[in-house]
Amino acid sequence: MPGETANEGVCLRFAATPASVRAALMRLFDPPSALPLAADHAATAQLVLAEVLNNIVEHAYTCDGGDIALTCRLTGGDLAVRVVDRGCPLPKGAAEPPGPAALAGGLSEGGYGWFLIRSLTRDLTYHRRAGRNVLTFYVNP
Amino acid sequence: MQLYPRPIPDGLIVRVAEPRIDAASAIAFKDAMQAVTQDQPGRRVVLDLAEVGFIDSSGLGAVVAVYKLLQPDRVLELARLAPSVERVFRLTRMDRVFALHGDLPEDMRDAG
Repeated sequence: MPGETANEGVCLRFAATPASVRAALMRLFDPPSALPLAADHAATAQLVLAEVLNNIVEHAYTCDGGDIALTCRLTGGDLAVRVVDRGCPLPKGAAEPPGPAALAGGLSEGGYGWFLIRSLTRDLTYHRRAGRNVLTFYVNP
Repeated sequence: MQLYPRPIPDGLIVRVAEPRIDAASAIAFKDAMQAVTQDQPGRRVVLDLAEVGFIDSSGLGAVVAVYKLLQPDRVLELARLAPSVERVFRLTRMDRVFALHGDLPEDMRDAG
């Protein structure tokens, strides 16, 4: 997995598969962690990144595989994340804040991903640019 | 997927000897849980999660799927969750569905 570490952050590029997502998360969060975050912040960040990256694996690259580019940048204790893929666009409204009914569906086996992402991030933006999905957000400490 | 079941008087404890229940292992977890709980008598199935340090929404969905598989005659309970794992259950309100135990049932009996 090619990657580079700078003082201000980490850039990783990896295949959009569940195994590659797991390897990227373990590289970022298992000791020795590439991201010096407090334990609670790291746990939140790992969960949010898992949801974002697995959404890309499951929904953006539905037929053909592809790559995911992940950039994590620490700025004054804040974790800024940028994720880029070349898969299908996000469905309209997918990244919008969840309504009160988001978790009202009873005992579901899915549908928690965007709820968790929206609950644990701020300033989330999504753009479709030149055939690429660009998602940026901050992970709440 | 390493699962170690052992019987208790009213059911089964299943120790999950894995560091993660995530998108890469959710299906294997569900299938393995189905295999170890099949034909097991007893009402309770207690999942010992002490070794699990990370769960995502795919893993959560697999736990819900196992809960549904065991219904209506058996109940799935969760024990010894790491703080980061317990938080995922609380954030998604799943702590209203599952009994979350700090200790295993036999430990609670010893203490009582």
